[in-house]
Amino acid sequence: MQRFAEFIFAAAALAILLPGSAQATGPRVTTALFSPDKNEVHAVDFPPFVTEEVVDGGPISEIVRIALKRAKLDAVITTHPLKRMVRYYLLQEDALAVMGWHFQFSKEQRKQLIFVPISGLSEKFFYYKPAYPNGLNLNEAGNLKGKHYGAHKGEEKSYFAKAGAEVHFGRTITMLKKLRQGDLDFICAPPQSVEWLVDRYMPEEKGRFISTEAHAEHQVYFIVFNRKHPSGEVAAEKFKQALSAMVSDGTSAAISKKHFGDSDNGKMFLRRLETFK
Amino acid sequence: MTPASAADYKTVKPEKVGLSSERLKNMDRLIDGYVERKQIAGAVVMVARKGKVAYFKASGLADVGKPMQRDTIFRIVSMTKSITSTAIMMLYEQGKLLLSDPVSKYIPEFRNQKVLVPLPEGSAFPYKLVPVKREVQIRDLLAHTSGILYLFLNDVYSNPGRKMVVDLYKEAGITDGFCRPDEEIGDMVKRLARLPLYAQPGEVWDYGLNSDVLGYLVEVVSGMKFDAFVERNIFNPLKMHDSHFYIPKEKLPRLAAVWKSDWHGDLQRADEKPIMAGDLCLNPSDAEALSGKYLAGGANVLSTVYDYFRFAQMLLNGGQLDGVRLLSRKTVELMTATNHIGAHEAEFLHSKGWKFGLGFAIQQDREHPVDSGDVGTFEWAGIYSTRFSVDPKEEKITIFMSQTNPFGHHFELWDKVLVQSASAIAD
Repeated sequence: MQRFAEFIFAAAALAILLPGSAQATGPRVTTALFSPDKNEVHAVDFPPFVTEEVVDGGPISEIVRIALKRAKLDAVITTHPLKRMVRYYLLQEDALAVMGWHFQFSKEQRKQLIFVPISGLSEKFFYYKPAYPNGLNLNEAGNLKGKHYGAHKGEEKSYFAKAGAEVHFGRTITMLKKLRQGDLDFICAPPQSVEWLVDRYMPEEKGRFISTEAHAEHQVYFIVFNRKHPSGEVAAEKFKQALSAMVSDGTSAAISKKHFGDSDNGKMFLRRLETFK
Repeated sequence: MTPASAADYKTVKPEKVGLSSERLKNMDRLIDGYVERKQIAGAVVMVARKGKVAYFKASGLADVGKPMQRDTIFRIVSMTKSITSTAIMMLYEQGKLLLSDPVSKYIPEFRNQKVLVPLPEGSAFPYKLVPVKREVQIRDLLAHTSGILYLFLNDVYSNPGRKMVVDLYKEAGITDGFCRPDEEIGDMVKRLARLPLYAQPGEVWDYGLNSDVLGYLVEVVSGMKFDAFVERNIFNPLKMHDSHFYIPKEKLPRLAAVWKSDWHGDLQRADEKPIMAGDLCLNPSDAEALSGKYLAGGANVLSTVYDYFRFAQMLLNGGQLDGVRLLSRKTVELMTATNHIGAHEAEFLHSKGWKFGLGFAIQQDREHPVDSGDVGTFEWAGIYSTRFSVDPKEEKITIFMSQTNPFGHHFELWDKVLVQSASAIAD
């Protein structure tokens, strides 16, 4: 879990160095269940980073929410089960911003968007141990032929397709279930997500989803502001400054530590809200 | 009306309750004909009147080499819905909720819902999402006017908007619950609530996953698991000892098999694999699970004809049976009122003239090709071919249970069963 804290610092550098547009991926966020605000930031459920199931909506939600507040941006984060709903709100309803990763936008669409990196994300390849008791070697492309790979929508998949793997898309939890059923051979996901989802939905399978030695590319989790929104450009600039300040003064790291720290308190923040009596 | 008792398994001579034994032989001939022609493997049929069971017969096979018995256990699937509605109405009577309450009061994910409106072909985006004019209320869930869909009806009533909503359901891992997913009902409901509705609440009658949402609502409002609530408050008081969400191991031998029929004599016992047809997924093997997480208020229950008779008799008695009161007479009257869905027709099992109350369809007039009973008769059915019908005016209950797929073939048989039941009245 310390890795996440490192990525927060990396994000600081990214936020300062990267130009206003970059490639990204995306889910959408909104915790606005009780008051429909004027400005909306949409994200896909991405437990435990962005989810209404944990305290404070998960670490990325909390970072974004505090940054919005410090930037004096009146906006609320709403989460959705599907990425294409996030895209809908961004591209059809000109929402202020969306959050996510593995975004795929056309060149034309990217012109209207301002990408601000929130955090680096480390992904790993996972397989189901009972299906591969001796491990699964993904280091050589030759081993991929005929394998079934579970990908997130928007994920770069050409390498696997070229190597002869059949690529299937789905939500992370669906893919984990398909791994268990034998419908997939391997998937790529952040270890924190896999750990949280297995604990949440199939605790009896703990320890059976194994990460391989093969490295997946590091990803970046973005907030993407919309130039078509009347406040989009100004909001992006204010948000960037607020986020940089949060990284400099240690707020982001503190949030990360709060959620992912090794102490009992850290674990508490990732507990499902429903488990608090 | 004196509350009827149905405490035992005894049957009475049909004449004692104003039915004709001679005419009920037509029911024997009807069912035997379907079994002999191998259209169905077997069935259990009951006709009860004035609280007494006058006709109760098992025919054919429950499974390969196993005769159908009167206590055979069936997957009653959508006949679960009336039980779920009863659970909600009990909470309503306890003052825990109002039917006019927005569902979001209890399940916050229902706030700020949108309705999907398809855009003309060639538009830059296939649809737009518009805010609901009013929130989905509990009554919408009971009466199927919420705008929430079933996936499988995409094959029956296909149109672009329905297909788009169903595609979103599928992508989000929403199922009809007939192939039980490996999750808790609340997980499904919370995702469903954040997907677009098919229509504005109150502006459509569309049979959908509403009772499944109600099952979760029972959990939220009562603080109990849905199955535990139903067992404690409905199954146990009504002595429905063979009704379960998950079957006890010792009762597995009594579970009927599901049969696939082409309705022309090709009858095969369904194997272990799910039955897939378009957007419909049925998994008969789910009923063999001894435990599970998914508690579907629209589909989960396994029961017998006799148990369901006790439940139906409770409703016919105005909410009580054998001295145990579950609901008040006024609440049952509310559940069986015909004006909950306004000008819409509940055209799914029936033709026009049938309305939907708070858990079942109700006959509003008698202008139908099939005369299955009087105005006020209420009914519903299950997708493996089960059906119940309660005629309050004649104090008559008819229950048919088989386990045959596909569903669509059975309308004719069900209608004929109801005709035989009605035409046996001899007083």
